[in-house]
Amino acid sequence: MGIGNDRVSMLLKGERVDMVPVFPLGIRAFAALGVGYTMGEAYSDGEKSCRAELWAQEQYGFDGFPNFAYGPFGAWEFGGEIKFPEGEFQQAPMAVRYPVISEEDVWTLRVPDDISTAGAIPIGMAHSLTAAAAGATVMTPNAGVFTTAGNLCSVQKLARWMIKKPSLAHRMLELSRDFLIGMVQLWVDTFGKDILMYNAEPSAANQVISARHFEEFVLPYSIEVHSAALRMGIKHIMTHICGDQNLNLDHWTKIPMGDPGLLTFGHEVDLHTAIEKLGESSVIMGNVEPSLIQNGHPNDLYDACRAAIKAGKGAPRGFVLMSGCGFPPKTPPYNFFTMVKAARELGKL
Amino acid sequence: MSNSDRAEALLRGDKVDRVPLYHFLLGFCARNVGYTTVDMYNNAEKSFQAQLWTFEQYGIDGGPDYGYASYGGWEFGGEIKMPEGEWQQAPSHVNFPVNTEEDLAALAMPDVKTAGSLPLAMEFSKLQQKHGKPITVTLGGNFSVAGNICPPSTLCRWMLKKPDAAHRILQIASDHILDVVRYWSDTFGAENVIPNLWEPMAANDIISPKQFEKFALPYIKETNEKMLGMGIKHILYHICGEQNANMPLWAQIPMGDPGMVTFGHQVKLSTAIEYFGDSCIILGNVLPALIQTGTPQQVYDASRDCILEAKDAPRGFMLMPGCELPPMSPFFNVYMMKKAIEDFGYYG
Amino acid sequence: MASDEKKAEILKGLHDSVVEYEEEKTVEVANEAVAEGLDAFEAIMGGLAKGMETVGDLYVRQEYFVPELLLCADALYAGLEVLKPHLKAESHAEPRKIILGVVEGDIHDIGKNLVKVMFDAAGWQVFDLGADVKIERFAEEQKKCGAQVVGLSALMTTSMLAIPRIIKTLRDSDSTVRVLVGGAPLNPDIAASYGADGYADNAGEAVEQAMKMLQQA
Repeated sequence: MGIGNDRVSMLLKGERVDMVPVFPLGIRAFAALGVGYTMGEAYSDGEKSCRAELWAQEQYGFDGFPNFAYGPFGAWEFGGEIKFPEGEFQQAPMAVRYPVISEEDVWTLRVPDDISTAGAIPIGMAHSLTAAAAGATVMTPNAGVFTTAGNLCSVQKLARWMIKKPSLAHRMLELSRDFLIGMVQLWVDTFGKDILMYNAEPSAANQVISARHFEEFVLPYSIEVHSAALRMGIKHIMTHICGDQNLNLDHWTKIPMGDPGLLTFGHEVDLHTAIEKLGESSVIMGNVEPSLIQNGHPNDLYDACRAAIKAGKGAPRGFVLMSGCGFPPKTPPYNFFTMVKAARELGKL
Repeated sequence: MSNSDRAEALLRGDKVDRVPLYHFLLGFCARNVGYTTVDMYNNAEKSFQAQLWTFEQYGIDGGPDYGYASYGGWEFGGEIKMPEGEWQQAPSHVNFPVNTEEDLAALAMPDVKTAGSLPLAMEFSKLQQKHGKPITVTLGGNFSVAGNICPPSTLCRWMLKKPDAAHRILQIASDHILDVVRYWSDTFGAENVIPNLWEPMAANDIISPKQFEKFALPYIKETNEKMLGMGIKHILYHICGEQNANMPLWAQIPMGDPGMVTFGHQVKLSTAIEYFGDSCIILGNVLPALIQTGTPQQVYDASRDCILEAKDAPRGFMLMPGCELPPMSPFFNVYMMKKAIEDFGYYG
Repeated sequence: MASDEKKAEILKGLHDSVVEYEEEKTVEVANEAVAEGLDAFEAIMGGLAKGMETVGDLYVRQEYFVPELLLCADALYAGLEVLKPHLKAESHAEPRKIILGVVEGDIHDIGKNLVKVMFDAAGWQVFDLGADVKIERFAEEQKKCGAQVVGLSALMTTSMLAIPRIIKTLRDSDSTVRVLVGGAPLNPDIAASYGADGYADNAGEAVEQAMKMLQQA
């Protein structure tokens, strides 16, 4: 068990790689469909979904490691309800009932006593056990503290409370923080410290909150969760700085990421900017626009990969070609093949 | 060795480094590249490009090809419908040009330059030529073309009750096949053209070996002889479905030197080699439904079994599904066929 | 009233003319049966249906193929047309009912038509929905006619994917309905994985399979 041997893991160990690695972020649903599983199984069956990812990795020859994360993470774990995707057009789980509805709920809500049985944690654990058995690097489920807090009460409510009732917002973030630290501890207890913590923060994007609110409500809690993980012995934290976070970038530089960290960016953040601000301490990953991956002509996609490789290739701690956000499940397989092909042809180091 | 080299090397009689992979796979390509199924059948350029891309991705040798199993109806003035919706896989008949003996008597030979799908097929072949790919023209076998001009049930009834009408429609189908192949030969040079002929309707699922002998064999044999007489070098015949009882009859039909014969899972590859191994490249025959519904391991095992059974066929062997690759096949299962070749398909 | 000898001769005549796919002869013998006052139900079951049973056996044994089956069916229906108007209401029990159809997206109906012949011949009431039948229609029709069995046919690997959906809609609407499936890309394993109760490899086996399924029910 430990850090694997793929190219991304080699970058973490400070080793040289022969080409720019390709790591499609959150490929679980695409991989499951490619094997003939349903979209629902991609989320509800940890073992199957991880196996599908490993198979996709073999088929397409990409790097990186299996990843169990999904949008409304936290809601089910705290006693709310989510729905797994079904039918033709649903692509990810959705929260159908949040654990916190009223202000009173905030003060009665508790971190689950036994995190190992809460919500989707057993599914995530089965996913990680499958990854570990295959010799792949293990990564925790999403430990984004602000996004998880939003999943406990809805982002709208959290946003209103940040302005009108900040004590409620802070309480949500404390609950989220404590839960996530407990979850990371569970993963370390199970798999040892040579794992990655994963953090995705879509709700902290500037499409949702300001840099000032980031500073007050995201930054301190993120520092606490990250620091706790590093104290547990985790060496690298992979963080998906989702969406438009240009105004938050200076804050992100204050959050410890391990040595090196892994930072993935949406297409909204210019890779040159990302490298300039964060490239000395972290591997930079990104940032091909997901809608182009799903709908674009292969030649246009190839060109977009070329541009990303060109911009990222010289990053001091390394660069990984990645989708700018979760890999679209309905991507035509040839388009994904095109991304890997672009890295092979244009990313030689 | 590059992918397109491998199939051509076998046709030249040269050695290849590994068992080549071959597919008929239009509908699957649409899914794989994000086009619609209709694009594959009514847009030559998209169909060609989607196949090139898919072949590159899965390491497929040979092709691309254009064509579909219900060939003949539209070309003789009937109507077909392009596939649409979730469950349709290929063009299908709306109505047939011949329903009665009167229709048959009045039936005119189509102009191969303008009839039905042929202008699209020609456009496709020009792309094959432009890209240096083998030039193929896909038609039904004689019996299947006849069974697409009139409803197959009518052809069946006529064989027993009105054999003259059955013979007449088979003669028309045969003349048409030759007309098309002649047009392709005139355009590209006969030595560059490989007719692809699919014969699902002559399977023993439908007709008896005696009926095959009387109504299919003489027409197929004569047509193939005439095509070879024109200068065609290789004919690809897809001997579709259950044809075990027809095998001794098929063996009497010349396919070129070498020909290419592809079989469904119903015919064992060892049987195919016994009848055709000395004169033809053998292609086949992983059960299509298994590729669509089986586990990756099952597809891998079935591909391995085919490779081990037929790899040493005297004129060569190419791994392919027993019929068209099911369009809804999981992508990973399709990859498993190539993986089996990597693991078991190398020579020497 | 016909003598036993005459009756036996007529039944054999009906049987043989179906087996030998002599349509005109079948009509002739059926008319004779009516003229001789034979019970129409007996003539159908003991003559025409028996003939079709033999045809089914010949098909399974690969002595007959689709062309012969089609013509035997023509003869059977010609005979039925003569005899059916003479059926007495009380002469037989309520027939078993089956719905047949080729699934959505698929127009290949020769196999389904042959299966229909076999069920017709075996005295079932057949509700034939034709080809390219929309998914929901099977359950709708089953609700209307109360068929105990639904038979689904597909020739294409793509269209066969509609079968599990159809089975689900049928089960949701009536948990007792039995589903029989068949067609080139299917096999017993796929049929079972789709939740079907039975699979028939060919038209000759379909009725037997349906009977088995009902006995198991």
